[in-house]
Amino acid sequence: MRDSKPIQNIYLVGNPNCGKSTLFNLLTGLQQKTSNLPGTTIEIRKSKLTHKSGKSIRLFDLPGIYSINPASKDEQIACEPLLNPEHKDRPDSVIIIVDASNLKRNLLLFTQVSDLGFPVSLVLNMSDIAAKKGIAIDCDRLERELGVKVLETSARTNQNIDQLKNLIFETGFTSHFRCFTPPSLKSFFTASDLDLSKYNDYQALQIVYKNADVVGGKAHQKIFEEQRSVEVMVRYKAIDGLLIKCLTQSSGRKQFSKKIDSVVTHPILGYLLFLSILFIIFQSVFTLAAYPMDLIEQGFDWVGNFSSNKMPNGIMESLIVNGVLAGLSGVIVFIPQIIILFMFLAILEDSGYMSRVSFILDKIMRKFGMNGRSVLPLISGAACAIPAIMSTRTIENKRDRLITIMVTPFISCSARLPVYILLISIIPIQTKIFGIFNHQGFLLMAMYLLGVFTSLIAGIVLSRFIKNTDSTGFFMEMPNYQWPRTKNIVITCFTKAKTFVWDAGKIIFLVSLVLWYLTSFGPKEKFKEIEEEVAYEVRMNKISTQEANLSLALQKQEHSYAGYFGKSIEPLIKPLGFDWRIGISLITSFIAREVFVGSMATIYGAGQDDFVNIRKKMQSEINPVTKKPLFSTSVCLSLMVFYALALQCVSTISVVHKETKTWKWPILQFVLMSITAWLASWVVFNIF
Amino acid sequence: MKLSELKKGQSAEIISFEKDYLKLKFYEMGCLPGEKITLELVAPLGDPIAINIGGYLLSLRKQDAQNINVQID
Repeated sequence: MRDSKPIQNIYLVGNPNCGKSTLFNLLTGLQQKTSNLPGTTIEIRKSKLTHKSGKSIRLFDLPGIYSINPASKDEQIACEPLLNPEHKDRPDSVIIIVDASNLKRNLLLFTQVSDLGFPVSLVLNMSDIAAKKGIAIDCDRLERELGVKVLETSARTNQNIDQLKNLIFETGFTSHFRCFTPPSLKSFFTASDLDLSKYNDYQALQIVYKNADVVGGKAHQKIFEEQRSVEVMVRYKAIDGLLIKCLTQSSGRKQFSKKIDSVVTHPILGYLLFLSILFIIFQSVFTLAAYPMDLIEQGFDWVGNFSSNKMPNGIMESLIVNGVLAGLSGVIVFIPQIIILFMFLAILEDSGYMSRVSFILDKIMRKFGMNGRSVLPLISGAACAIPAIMSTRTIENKRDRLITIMVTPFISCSARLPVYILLISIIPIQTKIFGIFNHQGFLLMAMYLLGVFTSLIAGIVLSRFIKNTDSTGFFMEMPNYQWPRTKNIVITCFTKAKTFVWDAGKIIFLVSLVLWYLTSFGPKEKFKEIEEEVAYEVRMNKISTQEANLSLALQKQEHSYAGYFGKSIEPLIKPLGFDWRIGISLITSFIAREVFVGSMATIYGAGQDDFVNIRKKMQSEINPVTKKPLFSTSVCLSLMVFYALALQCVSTISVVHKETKTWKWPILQFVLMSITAWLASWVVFNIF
Repeated sequence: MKLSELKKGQSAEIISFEKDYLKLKFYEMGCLPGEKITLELVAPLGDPIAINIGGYLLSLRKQDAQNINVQID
């Protein structure tokens, strides 16, 4: 029946850190779709592959697992395509990817998947690293012993990637190998309580494990756990026997990695290195991205001026220049920074360094009510709180996870980056620190550090109130260091940038249009009144035509829908140095913080005829009361601090609701963060 | 002695598990009775630790390592 299916499902299955995802990237390139497993935030990637012969298959990248014994609910769902015979994307065959430099532990999963009866083949990945570690694997012998196709590859050096494609399409898969003889349970069950007749003994055993409640409840859990331990022992024994025949090993772990580790985990050098890396990342985000950003801005300036000159003045011109173009440039201009930030994060992850960060920071994180695993979500929070909060699912401890969720939005996300960049660039000071670093890089780093410190303090406070109820172990594999793979990083950056443009970009664009409407239109009668008044003044020769136009634009803006909106919250934000126009931006930022930039462009653009870039517009804005520039140093800093600490993001609120399954936590989070932000901004405004 | 009491650089053999707590997880990560381990890294603040087991590096907390009885070679 399987063969009659139009398209085969082939799964890549393997341990975490075995290079599986990189192989998937190499096989599929940019042609991949990422989706969440139903009801979870576990990502599964899939891609349609077509061979030169015209045959197509669907390739799936299952999340990394150590065994099919699920330790958490999420792992259980990750194993679902393998364990549930009724699964809609049931694998037709499985490629088990193992880390050749760590065969014993990796083969455990192979024996389990093969026992489930899937046609399998075995890929020994990272074979170059294994060779360097002095591990020699007799592939032919292994192939004979297992009775399945075995292929040596290296995702890093592109070794045998073509053969891997051939294996997928031609050489095929076999299901001969059996390792563990499970007890036959079929006779104990009738079709009415648990129908096992269709399955092999090992599949049946897994189904019984999963349905513990049907077969007898809690008392069985203990027995099942013991049974699983025994099974794992039996498997390792078989693997030992196999490896004696097929593997010769001359030395232990790579000396190279050992040497790096002595520096990276050094009590002083380790932390210095970590801080330096963070510093380099943030300096680069600023300096490297400046060139493409200038180009993009110049491009939009040109297009804006061009359309402005070619089109007749009026609504259409205003819509195109202040609505559409302003919105588009607000999205596109930040792509360089997002790519650079994600590039660094991908390099840290790919090189193996990220796990060392968790290692040296675990004990510290515990003091803040979190653990080493919280470091990655927190750092990912620098990209976006939404995936970061989703990635907290890797934290097994419930309390640690909740606290990580609660404090992650304090970390400055990439949506705040445009806000910081815009505000830092209009701060009216020019200094160089040590003669080479500009103050802008330091200010940016200060904003990120502010987020980090606030999140840690919040962690301490929350850990006083949220009790630790369960204790699960903290295990983490620390992979060997390796040179990051360019293609892998390019694909990661490209996918992230695409997600940003589509997910955040379309919202920013839409909001820009809505804002353009709200700022260009107001109650009809009031607008008419303004027009008549200005026309009267012109007729009386009180003001020139030019002055009249400016006065008209400013009054219309004040009495537009957006103006009323901003004014209604002005009393609340005045102590922070914000006027009603900033108020409009604060409100619109709820849809996405980076909208701030678009709203600034639209709101402050109202008084001008030409398309001028946002920075110039804001710098030339004068506070009507003090007659000084509206965006003084203290207002800019106060505004940045407010953006750093307030939870102005509808998406974050909804994802926290989804992840905590209650409204209690997101509401609490919103209230606490708003109060913190208001107080901190108030202090900053009054100091500077 | 317990795994958590090893000093950096010391090698030992896993003898048994104190409690069933986390036993299956340890097994899956390759920590079986009879396996040789070396304490390779200690985090700057003394915890967690990282052991070399079967050629790879596994990091675990001292409180979990207390569960494993080892014998120095």
